[in-house]
Amino acid sequence: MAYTILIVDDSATTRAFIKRTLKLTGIPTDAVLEAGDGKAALDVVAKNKVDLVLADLHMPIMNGIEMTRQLLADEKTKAIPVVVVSADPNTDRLEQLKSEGVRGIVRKPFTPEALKSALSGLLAEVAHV
Amino acid sequence: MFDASTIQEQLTIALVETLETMAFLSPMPVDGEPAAPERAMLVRICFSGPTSGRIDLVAAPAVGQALATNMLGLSTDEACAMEDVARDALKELMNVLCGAVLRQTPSGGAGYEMQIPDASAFDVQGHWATFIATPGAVVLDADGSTIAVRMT
Repeated sequence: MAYTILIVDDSATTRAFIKRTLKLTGIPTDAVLEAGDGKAALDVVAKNKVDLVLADLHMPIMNGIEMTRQLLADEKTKAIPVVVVSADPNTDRLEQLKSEGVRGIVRKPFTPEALKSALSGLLAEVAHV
Repeated sequence: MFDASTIQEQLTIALVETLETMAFLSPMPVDGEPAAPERAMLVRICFSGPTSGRIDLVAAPAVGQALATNMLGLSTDEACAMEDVARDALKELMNVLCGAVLRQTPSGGAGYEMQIPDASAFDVQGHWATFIATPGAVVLDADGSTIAVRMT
């Protein structure tokens, strides 16, 4: 199965880097979509069948925390796994997000192996839904 | 906040880890007196929490280009032509570096907030000597280009 993955980060360079690293993991992708902030990400999710969201936390307009909460509060989107990809050192915040439903945390800087390790189990769940 | 040698150690560990993992660069200590780059960019990030402060990074344009080349698989010519991408890459480097530094604090990063990094031109002639003389400052050579970092 190939997946549609949404990358959400306000840095175009970082989005491109994550996209490239995804390719290096060998995870099969149908499409890799991008959004520069949480609000744009919600628009993408509304218009596409997204299998997984990789999201930064600190973004303008709508941050990743609010975006995640809105995805989890919506019956149509709550099953989409959200994985936070962030340099945020605030462990309290990260643990809070996991308790609210974020399915994984990938700390920057990360290797392709670390990204693959964080995503493989989640994507296997998606494949079986 | 911390003594100069602790800051220097934290900055070095974080910068090496970040450059190696993000951009496959292998930074090394500089032999002798660090030569000032001809041109440089200054990237700053402020943080707050159990302690508050700022990390400043000064890097020659070639560093941003190398980051863009290695992070994105661009050719050197493509990276040289895309100044915005190189600047964005330096800001992301700072973002990741700051997180890595704060995770080394006694709280392990808990309670800290980072601001969005800011990039601007750096007055090498006027400020390089003062910058690298800051207690705890680190100067490394990343594949032929100079990077200097300090925390205040």
